[in-house]
Amino acid sequence: MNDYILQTIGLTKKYANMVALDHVDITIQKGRIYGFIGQNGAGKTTFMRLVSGLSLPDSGDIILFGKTQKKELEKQRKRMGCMIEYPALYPYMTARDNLEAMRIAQGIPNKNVVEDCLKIVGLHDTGKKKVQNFSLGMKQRLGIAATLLGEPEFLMLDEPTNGLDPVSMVEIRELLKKLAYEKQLTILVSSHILSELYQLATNYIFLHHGKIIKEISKERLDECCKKHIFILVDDVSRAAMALERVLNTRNYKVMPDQSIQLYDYIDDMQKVILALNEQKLSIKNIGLAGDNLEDYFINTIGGMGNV
Amino acid sequence: MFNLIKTELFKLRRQKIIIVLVMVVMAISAFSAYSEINLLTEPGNPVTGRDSFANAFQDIFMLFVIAAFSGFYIGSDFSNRTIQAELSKGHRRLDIIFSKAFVFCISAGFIMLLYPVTVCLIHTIKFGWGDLFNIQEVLYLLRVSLLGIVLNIGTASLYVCFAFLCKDIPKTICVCFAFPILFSIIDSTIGKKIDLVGRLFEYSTLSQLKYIVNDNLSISTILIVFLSSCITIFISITLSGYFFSNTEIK
Repeated sequence: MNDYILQTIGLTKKYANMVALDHVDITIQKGRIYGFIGQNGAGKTTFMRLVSGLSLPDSGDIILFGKTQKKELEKQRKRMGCMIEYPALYPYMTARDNLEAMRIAQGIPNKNVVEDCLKIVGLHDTGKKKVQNFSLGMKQRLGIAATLLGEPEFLMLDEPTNGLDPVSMVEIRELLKKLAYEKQLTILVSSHILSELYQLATNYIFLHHGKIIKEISKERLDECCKKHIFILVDDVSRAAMALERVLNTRNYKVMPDQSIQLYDYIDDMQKVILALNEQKLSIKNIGLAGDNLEDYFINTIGGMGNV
Repeated sequence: MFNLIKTELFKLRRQKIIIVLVMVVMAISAFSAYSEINLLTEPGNPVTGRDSFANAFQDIFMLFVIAAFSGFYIGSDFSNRTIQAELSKGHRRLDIIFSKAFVFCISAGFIMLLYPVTVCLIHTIKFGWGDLFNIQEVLYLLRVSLLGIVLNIGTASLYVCFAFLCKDIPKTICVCFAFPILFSIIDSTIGKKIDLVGRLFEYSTLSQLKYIVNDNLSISTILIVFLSSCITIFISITLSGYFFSNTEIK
């Protein structure tokens, strides 16, 4: 038994003359949180729609929980929770009734799951308020609660933090992390807020013009983004000597603008400052620097010209 | 599919539209019944409960009510994207059609019965039944009501098909509104000129309503009523399946 939840092979979808997805090969491993990154129209939502059965592929295979036949895929989708584009809710019902309707549809015998899911997303005290009177953030939360019904093994969320205030965003992020950790839940999540996605995901998939251009783990991304201490002093050669002699590191680069990028002591900048001060160097500027996910994504797709 | 039917029933209970429609039907039925009293009653020849019960079955007014019902009941599932949620939870497309069709058609069948019953009740209170109200009359009422429901379910299934074709509230309501009007126009024009079309229309669930109110019904007429309804349901569900199965759900 492999640890793959989802695998797509050569998945292709065309709309009229436009190729929305072009031979996409993705492998989603169990227990990981995948950040799905791409511009508007890159094909993220199309991919999710194909996997959830809302659209039909023109070619290629979807292997979900090891199954690929149409009927088998339908069965396996019961093990998934999806929220694509925006939450699918009955506006004339309360939050509780919405989840109750979904509980009945899924044939979940335990009625307590409704209350549990509402508590998880903090909507247990909405009482008789109808969903049509909910804020966008509340609807998003309820949408997430709906995906959690029936203890899914795989969550697919398209822009789940859309419309949420910063506090709610953090709450949802922490909730998803907790679920992934405690229940070994696998999550594929897309978001335009890359800083948010950076803090949530363990792996990233970059999609551009319908093609996968990069798959990278967080560890590897951090390496690539090369977090460093940026140092600007009055005498670069003495500073370099101080780093080598006092801090015993050669893991630095002197840049053309006479600044130094130090890749060690990221978490102990105070030590670096003391070492430079010992050499009576005048520190003009010092601080943490490095690419973030946003910069990395833009560089990967070929710079701002391609955005 | 059983779970989906239970969900549809749950949804129906929570939807205010059903209560609104029932109230609208009752109000219009009462209005219609009283207007008929004033307009149609000639001195010494009052409209009786029995007559109005038979006449009300042929009134197309209820089809407009069901048009609104189909829009708000099935069309709204496309607008709210709750159909999308059902699909992504692994429910078969045909199961989704069946469950919605089942609950909608039966509800519509009963709602459509409200009009003749209300009109008949008002006229009976005002002018009496028009005949000796014995067990035969009770059986007549039950027979007409049952066959009426069967035919109305068949007609309602066409509205399910329209809803799955249109996939939203306004379009569904418009197409369903246009249907009885187009039906009457085609029936009275092409139906009169082309024999085959005329015959087809004659066997439709809408046309069969005028036969079920007859005092005496032959077995063949009853059979035609059931066949007409079954064939209409079959065609509607098949077409709904065709429209829904190979389509992108937005």
